[in-house]
Amino acid sequence: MKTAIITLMSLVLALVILAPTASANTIFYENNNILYYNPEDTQRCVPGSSGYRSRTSVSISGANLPPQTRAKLVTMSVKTKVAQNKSSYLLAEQQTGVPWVMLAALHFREGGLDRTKSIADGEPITGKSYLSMDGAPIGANLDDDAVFAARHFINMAKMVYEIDVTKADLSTAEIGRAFLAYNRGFLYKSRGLDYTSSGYVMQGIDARHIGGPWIFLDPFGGHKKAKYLTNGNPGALAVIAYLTSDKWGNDTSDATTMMPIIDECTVTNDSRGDSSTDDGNSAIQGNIVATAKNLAWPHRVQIRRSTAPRHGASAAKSIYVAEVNKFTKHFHDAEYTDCGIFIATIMRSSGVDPKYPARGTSIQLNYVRNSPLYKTFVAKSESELRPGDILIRPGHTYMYVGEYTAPADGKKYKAVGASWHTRPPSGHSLYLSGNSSDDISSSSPFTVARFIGGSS
Amino acid sequence: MTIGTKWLTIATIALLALFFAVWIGYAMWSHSKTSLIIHTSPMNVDVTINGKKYSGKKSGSSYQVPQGATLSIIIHRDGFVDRHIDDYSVPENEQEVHMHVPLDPQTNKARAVLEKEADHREDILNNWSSDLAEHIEQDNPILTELPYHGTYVVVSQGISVQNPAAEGRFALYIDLYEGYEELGKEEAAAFMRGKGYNPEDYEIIYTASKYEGRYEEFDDRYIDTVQP
Repeated sequence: MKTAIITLMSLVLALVILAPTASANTIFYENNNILYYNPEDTQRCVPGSSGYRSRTSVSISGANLPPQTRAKLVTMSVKTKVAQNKSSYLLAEQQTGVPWVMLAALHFREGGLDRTKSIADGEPITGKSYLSMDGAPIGANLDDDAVFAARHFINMAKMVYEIDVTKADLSTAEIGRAFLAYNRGFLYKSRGLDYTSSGYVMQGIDARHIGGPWIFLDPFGGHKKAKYLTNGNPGALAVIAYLTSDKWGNDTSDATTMMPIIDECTVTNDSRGDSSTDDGNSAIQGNIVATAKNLAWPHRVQIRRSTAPRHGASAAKSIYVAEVNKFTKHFHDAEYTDCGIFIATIMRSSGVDPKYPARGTSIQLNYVRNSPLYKTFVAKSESELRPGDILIRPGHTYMYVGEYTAPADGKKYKAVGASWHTRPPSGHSLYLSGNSSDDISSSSPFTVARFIGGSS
Repeated sequence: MTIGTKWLTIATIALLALFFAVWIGYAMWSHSKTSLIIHTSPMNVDVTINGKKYSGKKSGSSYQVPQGATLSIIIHRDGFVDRHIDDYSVPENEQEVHMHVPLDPQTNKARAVLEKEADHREDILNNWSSDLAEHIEQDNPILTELPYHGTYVVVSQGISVQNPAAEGRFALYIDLYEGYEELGKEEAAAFMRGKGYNPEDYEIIYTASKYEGRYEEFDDRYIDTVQP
């Protein structure tokens, strides 16, 4: 009997030890290019988790956005960013009934559609829930934050104007007042002003509401920063009109439809897309970033050094291997780990620059320096970089994509790159250094190449 | 069993015991060693490890070094700037570690050598560069906290002004908004101290920028406007 129990326990123990874990399976499948069902990815897909699709329909009656407003929203990559965040908005709609497009507009107004900033208040999303200084609940991540913001939105609209933002067929006035309620509507109400007087709601909705003599209305005696600011961003109604006026994704003026190989399910990481500087086409930059993230592992991947012909093929993402095979002919050993081929594949695969030299950092550096498609400069600090910028010097090149956290190791990354023979495209550390003008020197600074468009 | 057979058996057992002793000894010795593989550009260099010189070594040569040891390594070739790697710690539990070392050319002859070895140079610079970025980040965790966007300030990493070409050097760029310089400096210092870093440990470069424009695009939540 004793022997039988010991045997049975040993058997169970052996099964526990030998049974492959989910992560081991994942690594095995990915290393062998086996397509597999990954429920974690599915949960991040657009439409939202559990296959939820929006049941709401929101429209702004009579909206005919002026070209200036549309141009501004395109420049700010609004549709690209909304596409990246949409699963969170849909989750909140599913749980609270607030139409996702209203949450997108709220996020635009409060947090610039930045995945690291709260929808409710624009405060940083830090991984922990907390209350902002204004009393808005901030979620630990964008999903939680969207739900918190939606509930806060419901409460504010109800409290100030007794509007139920979850009901079907909201009128434009109700939508406008709901947003006004969110933005200190009690103050406007107390002064007899309606949503039509609010820049937060109305800016850019028509020609009459662009620029003009807007005055400050400050309930707290004036914010120190107020005089330094201009309220040039489109208001919530303009954003909703923009997002709902075209069939979603069919607007060729934005990057949403310019991602030939991108499955929405894979575009889940943050693309900061800071478009505060004037040069560069941020919609296209967004497309470059999305492609880069789609082709690279988000976390850092290191493999044993080898010069075997197909070294790195099993460690790189299968979609990357396919794209390399599509855009480049065989050059040399371990080409799936070549940093120059990685950047060339991003630029070619995204459709942004089909002529980007296939490999060789010196050749590529010469190309970007002489091509009218790129602005090149040496960045003194990280704050000069924008997602989509190529960092290049003889010997190495990688891409700044903006901050994101890799699910596999929980670490923060800002760049993606490959290293010949040792790393397939994956998360890359950012380090700016060097001042030598000698290009062959290892201490040369990285040149930043920013795609600015135009004709080659 | 004859006497001869007996001695033969004893001798065989003794030999086997000796063989196993040597084998076990070797296994123990090799287990405490790591293969340090040094990849260099140019391809042929002289390597000195803790004072012991290995002349005319090819890139990718392997050196047996004790696990956990601290090494002083010099890579030399005429016409190039020597690379000194001091206090290199050999990992404890790695059987094999790789090091990528590019030497900077000083002469035209040296540059000509590198041009002939262009692909190899690319390989070494590529790996050296990404290894360096990773090590700098590991040694300076503040870099992973940046950029920091505060109310009055942005803190980010950038190129050192004091010694820009030195490997591993960097500076913290503190971008102050015009009119809010003191608040910005205080906020940057509070951010660093709050994260456990001493601002005095870093080369700090202050830069100025206007507040408007920075938040114009995205962050006008502090302002309420009406159109009369």
